[in-house]
Amino acid sequence: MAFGKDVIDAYGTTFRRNLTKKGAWLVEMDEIVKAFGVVKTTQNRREIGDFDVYHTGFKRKVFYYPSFGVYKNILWFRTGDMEGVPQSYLDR
Amino acid sequence: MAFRWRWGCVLLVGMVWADSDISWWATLPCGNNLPTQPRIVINSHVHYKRPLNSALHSLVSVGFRDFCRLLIVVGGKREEAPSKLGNITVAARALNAHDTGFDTLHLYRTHPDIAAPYYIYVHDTCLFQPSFVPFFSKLPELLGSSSRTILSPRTHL
Repeated sequence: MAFGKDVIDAYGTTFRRNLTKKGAWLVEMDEIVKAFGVVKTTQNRREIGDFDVYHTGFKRKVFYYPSFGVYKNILWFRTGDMEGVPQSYLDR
Repeated sequence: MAFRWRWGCVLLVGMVWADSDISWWATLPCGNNLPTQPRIVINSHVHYKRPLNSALHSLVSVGFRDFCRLLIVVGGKREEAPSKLGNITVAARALNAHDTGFDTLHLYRTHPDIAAPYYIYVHDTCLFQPSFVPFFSKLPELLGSSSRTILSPRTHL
C-alpha cells in the first residue's frame, strides 16, 4: 500500500505490539491501517501461480499487483520455510 | 498486456538470488533524495535476509536509483536503532509484529532519514517490476493533495 504522512499520526501507537503471522492474518493489519485514512482502491492483484521462488524446497503463491508494479510471494497459510520447517499456522 | 506481465514475472522469478550477502547494498546510489519524494518501506524480519536481498536485487534490476529514499525495517532483532548501510536506512526493531514497519514509521516519524510526505509500504517477499519506477515518481500525483489518502489494492500487499 501507499499512504500520506498524516496516516501515521492518525494510527499512532496502534501497532506497537508483538504479533505472529497468524495473529497478523487474523487482524489483517493493513485493513486496520485503512481505518485511519481515505482509501483509494487500485486494481486488484492477479494470481500468477505457485513457484519455489527462494529455492527453499517449498512453493509460494505469486501475485502481481499491477497498480504498484510489484509481485508478492506468499507462503500460503504457512510459516517457517526460511528456517526449513514450514508448518501451518491455522492449527497452532 | 497479459503477455507482458506474465513474461515479466517469469523473468523476475527466474532471477531470485539464493545468497544472503548484503555488503553490496553499501554501493547503491543515493539518487535525488528530495524531501518531496516518497520513501519506500520494506518490512522485513531477522530470519528473512534471503527474500530481502532478492527484493533489493530486483529493485536494482528495474532501474531504481533513489536508495536514499529506501527504509528497511527488520523486526525480531535484539537492538532498537536506525542506522545507515551506504545510502539505505535500516531500522532494527526488537518488536516482532509481522508488520513492524507501521510502528517504526510512527516511532521515528521525525527522524531525518525516515520522515517523508508519502510512503510505499511493501513486504520483503515482494519483487519489483519495471513499472514500479514510474509508480514511485507519480505517487504524489496519485495520492492527491490530502496527506490522509491511502492507495491500496482490495487485497493485502
